[in-house]
Amino acid sequence: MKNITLILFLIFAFSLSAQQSGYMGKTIAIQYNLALSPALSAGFIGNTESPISIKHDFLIEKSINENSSIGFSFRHNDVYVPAKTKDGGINFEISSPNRQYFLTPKKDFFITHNSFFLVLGTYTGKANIAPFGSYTNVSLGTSMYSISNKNPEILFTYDSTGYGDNTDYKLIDKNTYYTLMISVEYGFKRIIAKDLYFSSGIACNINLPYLLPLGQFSGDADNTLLEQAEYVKSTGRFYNQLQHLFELKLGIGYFLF
Amino acid sequence: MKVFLYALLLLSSSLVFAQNAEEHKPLTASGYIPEDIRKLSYDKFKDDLGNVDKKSADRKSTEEFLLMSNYRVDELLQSGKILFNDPISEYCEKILDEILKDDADTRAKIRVYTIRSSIANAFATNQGILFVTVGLMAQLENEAQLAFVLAHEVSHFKEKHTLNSYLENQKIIKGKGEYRHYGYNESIKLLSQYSKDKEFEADELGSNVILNTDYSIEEINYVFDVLQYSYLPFDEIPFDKTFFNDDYLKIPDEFFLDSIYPIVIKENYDDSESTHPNIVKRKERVKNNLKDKKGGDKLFIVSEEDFNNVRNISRYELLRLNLLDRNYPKALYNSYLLSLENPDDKYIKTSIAKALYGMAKYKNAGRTSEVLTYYKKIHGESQQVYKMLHSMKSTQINVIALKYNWIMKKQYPDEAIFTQMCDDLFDLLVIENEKEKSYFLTKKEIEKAQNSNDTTSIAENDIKEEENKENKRSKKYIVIDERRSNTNKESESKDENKSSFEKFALADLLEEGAFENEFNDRLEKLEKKKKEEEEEENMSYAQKKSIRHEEQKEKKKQERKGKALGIDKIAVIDPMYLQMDSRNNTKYINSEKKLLDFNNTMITMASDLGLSIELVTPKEFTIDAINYYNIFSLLNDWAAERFDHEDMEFVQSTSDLMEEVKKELGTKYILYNGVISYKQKKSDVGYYFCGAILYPLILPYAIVYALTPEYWTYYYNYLFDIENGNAYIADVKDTKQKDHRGLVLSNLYHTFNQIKRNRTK
Repeated sequence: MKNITLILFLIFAFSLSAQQSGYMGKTIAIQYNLALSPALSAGFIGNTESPISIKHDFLIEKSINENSSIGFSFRHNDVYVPAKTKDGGINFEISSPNRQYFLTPKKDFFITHNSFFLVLGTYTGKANIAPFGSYTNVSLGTSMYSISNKNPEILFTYDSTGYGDNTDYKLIDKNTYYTLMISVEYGFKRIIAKDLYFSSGIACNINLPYLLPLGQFSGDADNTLLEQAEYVKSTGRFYNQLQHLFELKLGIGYFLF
Repeated sequence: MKVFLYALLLLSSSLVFAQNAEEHKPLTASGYIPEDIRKLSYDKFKDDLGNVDKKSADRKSTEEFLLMSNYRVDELLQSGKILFNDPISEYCEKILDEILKDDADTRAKIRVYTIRSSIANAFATNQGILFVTVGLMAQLENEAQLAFVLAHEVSHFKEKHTLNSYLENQKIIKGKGEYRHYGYNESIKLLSQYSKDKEFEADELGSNVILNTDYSIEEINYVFDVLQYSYLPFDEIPFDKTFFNDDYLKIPDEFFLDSIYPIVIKENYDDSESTHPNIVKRKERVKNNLKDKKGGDKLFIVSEEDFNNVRNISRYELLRLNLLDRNYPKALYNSYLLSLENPDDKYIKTSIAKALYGMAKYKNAGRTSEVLTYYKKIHGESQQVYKMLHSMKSTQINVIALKYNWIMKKQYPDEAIFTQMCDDLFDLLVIENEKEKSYFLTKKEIEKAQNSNDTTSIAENDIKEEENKENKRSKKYIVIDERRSNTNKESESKDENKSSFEKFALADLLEEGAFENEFNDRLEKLEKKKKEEEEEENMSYAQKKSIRHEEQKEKKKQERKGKALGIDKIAVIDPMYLQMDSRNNTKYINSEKKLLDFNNTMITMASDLGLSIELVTPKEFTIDAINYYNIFSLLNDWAAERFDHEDMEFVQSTSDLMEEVKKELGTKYILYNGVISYKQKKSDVGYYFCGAILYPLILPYAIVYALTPEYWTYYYNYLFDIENGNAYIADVKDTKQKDHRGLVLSNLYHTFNQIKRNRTK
């Protein structure tokens, strides 16, 4: 919360040096985006509620000069994971040099993602004056995903021996995980009524651990539940990545002041 | 009482015509602004549509023509180049009264306007407007010639030649009807033949009109000569090689040709692909038409005095137009011609001062080719001026211009323009060209030399002294200097220019305290400049890099932040809004509607921002806004010249008129802005469909992308200070999208915000 307050403070501090033209003198805008992306995780999970994953994205943005802006965005989405997959397969795969384990959900559940981004916008084309017109946003943020937000009693089962002796597994560690994300978005904003604008764009998001060696499991999966929880964490991150890889964003915004 | 009023009216009218050439002021429009200029193009088009035969096979093409012609003619009418109720237009109207006295219907439909252009031309529009140029008026020999030109244009109008030509051209281009089997080359010939036929017809009908008057029909033959040779100055008098000379300034003969190239006679040229027949054919056709017919023999019917006045005014105005066109050699030769009758005329001398200044500036900037045609391409007496300017080095023309302007400054101390030009020429000579006092000879030195009867030896000795000073350097550099000197000599000999007459030219002025003070002032600046350069040379690479880095950083910072000029009032001159497509077709109707909206938006937005604006545009003129019309006209001239000079600091030829403009507008800041939107087909649709195959979700986006054309929008804004020509804002912004209202508003606001806001707030 402190971080969010700090970011919001920074945004408004910029507005104190307000001599920017912005859009008709308004340099701060709020925006809601509907981000649509193909549910790529379906291929791994086997079943999802819809072939399109829907995310909700809120942005507050402030122009800092003629062609740049700074903003803060919050994004939320849930990934539905059914207990029974279409091929009866197992959802969460844990592999180690010696063996493979499969954590199978006993109940349907959701992976909830909440992401926070610091957004740096560049308005391309000389005639586009921030925060309006064609833009390219580069965002850096953190994505929180939690498995049991909606059902804290979820249990997984897994074959601990490899001979079909299933053991119940309860996530004993904290069930909220973090990952760093970087996002690039290209689109444009068009005025549809006084101070109201429509925004459309395409975005690509990458989990930084996929680019950087952060938090990747490298130990033996046989031993502790804690390590198994690491597998869950990294698998969740993988789903998170799949949910965010490509997005078509449609939004509506309002120039505040 | 009525008689008295009539007499007063006549008197006032004759006063207008009796404009004394010695008091020539730039030609301006007067009286009420005609509806032709004020009325919206769309309204004119709508009126014309009412007269179109709906059942005609050519209905569509006719409507296309009416749309295009109304908007294009209005572009000219609203360009600020048009004069109305001026001596030239009024004189032409009187001649029309004479030649159309038996055709009241036609007379009622026709009106004449003058175009401020140095090109000799006249033409008629479908709307019944006859345009004559100042350039044509300056060339004509008598009223009968002008009467034939007007009669010819009236015939074009009466026979609807412009409309018929358009319709026929459309048929030829589209290969319709009898033209469907013709190839490209044949079509071109057909187009030009049709146009030539219409010219012959207008010559014939025009000569018939003249036959019904008392005007001499012989003059018809001569008028073709006037038109054919109008590229030459209005007279052919040998240029006096001593024109610029005085006791100390003596331009040597080697700067001039021994004999000029004679005028080339090319009258029976191949006109097969031209729109106009050649002069020989036109003369023959008219001769045949007039064969065995008896016409009048009068050269003047309306008034010989009026003709001479109008022609004189035109010739004086031509000097101004030459300067605006940056045709400095022609301005000099035309000034010379006029000065033969009025050697002390202030207007002529001012024109010469401006032309010399312009030539000096362009020579020194290395942009001579923009303003000086190579003298071997010029024929006739004016060639001497071209040769003289071609042969002079930049310092030489700089010295002549400085001397001429200094004398003018002394003679007319109230005219700020001479001070401004002198200041600039001093800077050029002393600071940029680094010519110190020692470069020039004083009176005493010259007298001493005259006593020994060898002035050139002084210059040579002077050079030798300089060389001796340099020879104190090490041998290596002496060899380099010798080689350099030889190379320079070779290039000088190529220029056929060994004379250093400019060293003597300022001898008398150097003894004047005021001149010497100005010179000393520049020498101090030169010393300072040299010191700074020396300091920079002594800096380490890291220091230089650091300074450059800081400068670039500051520049980028300023660019990002935008301007904050803190200006309270501006004049917005002739805003533009243009929507075009890839075939360069202008969407006339939309463009005009958008422009009106753009104008209104500017007024509202400026008011919201607390910025006071004067909108000076023909689309908004009221009938009695003649002052604004003339200001608009002057500012358009000023801006055209300003854009031509690009980034060169220049005292413009119209800058002496800007004081009045500033007073009238209440501001010295003028803004030129506008929007150009351009539509074209997309060329990269395939990539999007390939992308859609890989990632089907973007398919709807790809389809929308493929079905919508590509738009480019350009928004330009230039804010000038008319006092010094500085551009505080000079931006052309582009974006690959349609000219949405939001985009236009955003940019307009940004412009006004930069002008109004103040960084210190």
